[in-house]
Amino acid sequence: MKSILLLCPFLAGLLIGLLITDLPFFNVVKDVRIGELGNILLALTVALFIPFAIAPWIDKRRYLKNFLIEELNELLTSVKRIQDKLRLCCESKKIDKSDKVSINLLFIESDHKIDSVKQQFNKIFRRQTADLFSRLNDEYNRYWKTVTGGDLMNENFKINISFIIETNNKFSCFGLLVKEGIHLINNL
Amino acid sequence: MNEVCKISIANDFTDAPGARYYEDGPKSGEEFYLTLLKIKFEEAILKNGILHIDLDNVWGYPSSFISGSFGRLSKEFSAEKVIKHLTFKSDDNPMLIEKIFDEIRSPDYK
Repeated sequence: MKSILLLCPFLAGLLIGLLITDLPFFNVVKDVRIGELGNILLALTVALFIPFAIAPWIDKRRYLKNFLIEELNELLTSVKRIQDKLRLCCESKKIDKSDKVSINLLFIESDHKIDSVKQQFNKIFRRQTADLFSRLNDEYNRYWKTVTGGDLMNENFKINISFIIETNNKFSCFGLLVKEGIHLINNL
Repeated sequence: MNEVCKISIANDFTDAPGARYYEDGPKSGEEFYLTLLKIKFEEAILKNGILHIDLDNVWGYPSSFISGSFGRLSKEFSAEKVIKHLTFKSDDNPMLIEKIFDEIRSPDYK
């Protein structure tokens, strides 16, 4: 019984050999051209490389870009709150000491936001965003100087439409630059 | 150089800085400059040391206050000398130090 079991693989091999030799269902070409071998290797490389290396890299890059765009949007929202506060004061035609304190505090919040943008830019796309950050910071400082560098902090300051127009213009310039920054990051 | 004198704006002057000139209202940049900053800065130069300024615990700094004090200091003593003899601490707002150094480097004190 044991010897019959040992013979089985040999018999199976013999049968397969006879089938391949006598029944020409499969025509195996034994000489492979180097170009075809290259094609197979290339196809395998692409098939493995795209899902395992390129796709995660693209996903990570997209995530980082979205993160920076979110940071820029938060900065714009923070600065917009200052301009909204000024507009409210203008509509009520009065601005008192507590309004001025809250404008200063809103600037502190925006300073923190711009510091955060700076740090994230430096960590993620330092070289590509250096010029953008420098321009953003300059424009933000121009807005800060326009709001708090003139008569606003004077004890007898009366809020007026020309002050609002001037600050609004500077805010618009800053807002345009933030949007330009969003496009730039999106295209990196 | 060693730190030879110190100003804490919140403790030694005010926690709510005002505008640029005396006539603009209380606690102006000019008042800070004439009653504290200039005197301490001259002392630091005399001792060949550093004046350290603590900017924390204040309800924000208007640009006019910074221009009226640090901008004026830079105009009167030169940016180079001011940068050499001044250091700052601002844990509440790290960007503030950059703003002050910008003002010192290109003062728009009128």
